[in-house]
Amino acid sequence: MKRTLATATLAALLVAGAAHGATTPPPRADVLYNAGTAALDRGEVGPAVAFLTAAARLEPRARDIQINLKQATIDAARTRGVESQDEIEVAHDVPFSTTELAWAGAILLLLGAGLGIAARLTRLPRGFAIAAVAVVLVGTTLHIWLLARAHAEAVHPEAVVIVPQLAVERGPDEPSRAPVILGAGERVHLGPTRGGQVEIRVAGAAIGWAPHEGLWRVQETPRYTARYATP
Amino acid sequence: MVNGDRRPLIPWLILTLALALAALPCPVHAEQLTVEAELDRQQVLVGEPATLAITITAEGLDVPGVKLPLIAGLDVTPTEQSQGFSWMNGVISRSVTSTFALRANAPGDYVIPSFRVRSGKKEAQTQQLVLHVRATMPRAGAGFGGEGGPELFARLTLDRTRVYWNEGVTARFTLYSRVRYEGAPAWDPPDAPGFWTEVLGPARTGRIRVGDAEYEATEMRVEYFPTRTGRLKIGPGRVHAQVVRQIPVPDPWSALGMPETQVEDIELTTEQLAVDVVPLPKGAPATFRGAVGSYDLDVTVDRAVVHAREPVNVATVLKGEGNLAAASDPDVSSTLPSRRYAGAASTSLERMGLRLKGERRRETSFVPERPGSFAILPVRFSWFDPEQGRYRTQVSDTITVRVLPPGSGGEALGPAAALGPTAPRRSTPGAGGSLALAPPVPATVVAWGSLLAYLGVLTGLGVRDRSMRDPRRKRERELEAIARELARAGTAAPTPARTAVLLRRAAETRFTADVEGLPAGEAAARLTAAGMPADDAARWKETLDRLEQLAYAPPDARGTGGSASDVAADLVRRFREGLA
Repeated sequence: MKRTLATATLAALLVAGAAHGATTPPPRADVLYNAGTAALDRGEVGPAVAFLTAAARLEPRARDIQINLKQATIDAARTRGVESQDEIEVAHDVPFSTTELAWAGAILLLLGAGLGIAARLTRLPRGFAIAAVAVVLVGTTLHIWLLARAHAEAVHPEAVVIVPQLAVERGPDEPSRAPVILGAGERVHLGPTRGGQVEIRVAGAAIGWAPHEGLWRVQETPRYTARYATP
Repeated sequence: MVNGDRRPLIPWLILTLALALAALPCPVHAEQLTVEAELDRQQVLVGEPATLAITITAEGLDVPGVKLPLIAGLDVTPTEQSQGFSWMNGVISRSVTSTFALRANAPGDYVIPSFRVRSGKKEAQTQQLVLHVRATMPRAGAGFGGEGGPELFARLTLDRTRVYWNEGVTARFTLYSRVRYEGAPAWDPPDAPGFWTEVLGPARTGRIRVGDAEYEATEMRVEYFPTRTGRLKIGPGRVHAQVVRQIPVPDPWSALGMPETQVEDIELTTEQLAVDVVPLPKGAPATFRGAVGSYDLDVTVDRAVVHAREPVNVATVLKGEGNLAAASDPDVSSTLPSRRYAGAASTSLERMGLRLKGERRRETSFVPERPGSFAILPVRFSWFDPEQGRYRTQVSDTITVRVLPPGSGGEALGPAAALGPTAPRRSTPGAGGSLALAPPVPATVVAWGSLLAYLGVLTGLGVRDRSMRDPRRKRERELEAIARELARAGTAAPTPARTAVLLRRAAETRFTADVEGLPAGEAAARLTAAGMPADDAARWKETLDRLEQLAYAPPDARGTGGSASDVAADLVRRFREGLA
C-alpha cells in the first residue's frame, strides 16, 4: 500500500514537473539578446539594458551581447544628460554563468571527494589527501558564494529603470525631501513592496520608494520579449 | 479756621471701627473655621531652622489660639504673629498666622502631628507634616561653630537621583561660609567611579540665606554621565579653605588695642549621594550608537558642483545637550564608488550653563574620479531622549553633487566618443537557463552529495579505525573468529588437533596469558592465575587432553570427538560472554 502511494506521488511530481517545464521553457539568451537589440534600435534604452543584462547572465562572454549592452548603457547615460564617455560606467559582471560556476564547483567537489576517499582507503601519499581537502574547500566555497548570491538576488532582486525618469521619494512615514531622479537604463536593486511602491536600493542602501511600473526585474524580462519580437 | 490741610475722614473712621470691633470679645462664634499648617522647606540640616506657619481663618471675630503639641527632638520657638481682616457681603472674616522656628539637634525624620482647633461648635484640623533633618556638614575646626547655625559647612546636591545610562546628572558642591577666608576655596575632584565627569565652568560665588543666617556660597557644578547601570555613588567632595580667625586680645592695651588674626587651613567634606542608573529600553534603531540627550543633526556640503578628482566635504554637525564627546558620528555614504576620507571629529563644549551643551563636527571628504553626478545618501542619526523616554531618529536629505571634468573650469563638456555599430541579431539559438542566479539543481545535488559522501566516508573510517585500535574489541573479534571456526560442520569442521589449537588460543585471548607450548596442566594453572575460574580451568584441561588424545588416535577411535568439540565450543562461548 505504502509502495503504491509513494509511486503515485512520484509519478504525480514527475508529471507536474514535466507540465511545468512544458509551459514555462527556460529563457534563452538569443531571445533576450534579439529583444534587447530591437529595443536598442527603437531607442528604448531602458528595456534594452534590461534585456541585454538578462542575456549576459546566460552568456556572459558572448561578444555581441557585450557590445550591445555597452552601447545601450552609453545611450542610456546620454539620455540622462551625461555627455562625456569617461563618466559612463559599464558594469563588469563575472564572465561565467551561474550554470558554469555551479557545475565547476560540483565537479571540483566530486573530484575532491573521490580523491579524498581513495587516498583514505588505498594508502595513497599524504599529498593526495591534502590536495583533496583543498579541492573540496574550493568547490564548497564556490557553491556557498553561489547560494549567497542567489539569496541576495531573491531578497533584493536587480532591476532596470525603463521609464525616462523615475522619481524616488521617501515613504509616507518619513520626512519629505526632494526626490532622487533616476533615468532610463539605471540598474538598481529592489526592496519590499508597499501598495504600488517598491523600495529602491543603491549601493546597499535604501534611497526611497518609487512606483514599480517604472522598473523591470532582470529575472522577469522574458515576460516582455514578445513585444520586441521581429518577424 | 484753618482751611488747607483737610484729611479724608471716612477711611479713618472705618479703620477705627474695625479695630474697635476686633478688640471687643465677640459673642458670636465662627460659622466657618479652617486651619492650615505649612513648612517653608521639607528638608534642613541639623541646627538649621525651618519655619512652620499656622494660619487659622474664621468667620466672625472669635479666632481660637494656637498651641503646638510637643514634638520630640525639635526645639520650637514662636517667632511672630500676624492678623488679617476681611469684610465681604456683610460677613467679617479674621485670620491669624503664627510662625514658629523649628530646629533639630539630631538627624532624622520629625513628624509634626495633626492638631485641632475649636471655636464654639466648629472644629478644624491640620494635616500631618514631616520635616527631614539631615546630618550636618562637618563644621570648621573647633571654634567655627556659631549661634544660629554653623559658620562653615559644605553640601552636595544632585538635580536627579534616577537617570538612564549615559544621561547627565548635575551635582552642585557648595561651600557655605559666614567667616572670612583668604583666597578662593579649592575643591578636590570628587570621587565618582562609573561616571564620565565634566566640570561645568569655574566656581561661582554669591550670597544666600540659610535659615536665619546669611552665607557666602561658593559653588562648583559638575555633570556626571554614568557609564554603567546600577546604584552608583557620587562624592564625597572635599574643599580646602584658609579661614581667618580673630584671637581675643589678653591685654586691651597691647598692640594699641588692634585685634590679632590667625589663618587656619581647614578641610570640609560633603556627604556621598547615590544615583540609580537604569538601562536604556529595548527597541533601539539600527543606527543608534549610544547617544543620550537632546540632539539636532545638520548635514552640509561645501560645494554642489566640483571638478573630478577634487574633494567634496560633507560636514555632519551634532548640536545639543548630552555627552557629546562620547556620541558616535553618523555614517556618510554616496551613491558612486569614490575615494572617501573621514576626518577627525572636533567637539566644542559650552560649560557655563546648568547642563553640558556643545557641538560635535566631523567632515567626510569624497573625491569623485569621473565627471557626472552623484548623491550623498541620507544621513541617519539616532539617539535616546530621556525626557520623552524614547528613541528618536533624524534623517537628512539626499544631496546631489555635479562633477565636471577635471580642470575644465566649467567649460562645455565634449560629446561622447562614438562607439562602433551595434551587433546584429542572432538567428542561432543561444544558451538557456535560469535568470534567478540560483545554481541548477543537478549541480547542487552532485556538489552537496559529493561533500556529504566524503564527510560520511571520513567519519565512518574514523569510527572503524578507532574501533580497530581498541584492544578489547580486538580480543572480542578474535574470539568471534574462533567461535565461527569451531561452529563449522561437516567436512569444514576443524580436526581435534585444530580444535585444541583454537581452544588454547581462545584461552590466551580471553585471559591475556601466554600458554603456547605448555603442558595442559601447567597451562591451566597459569590461566587460573590469570583469572580463569577453577571449574573452567579443569574443564579446559580435560577437554584439551581429550582433544590431544583424539588428534593422535587412529581414525576408527575418534567416534567420541564430537563431545569434546562441543565442550570446546561451549568454553569459547563462555570466554566471549566473560569478555563482554
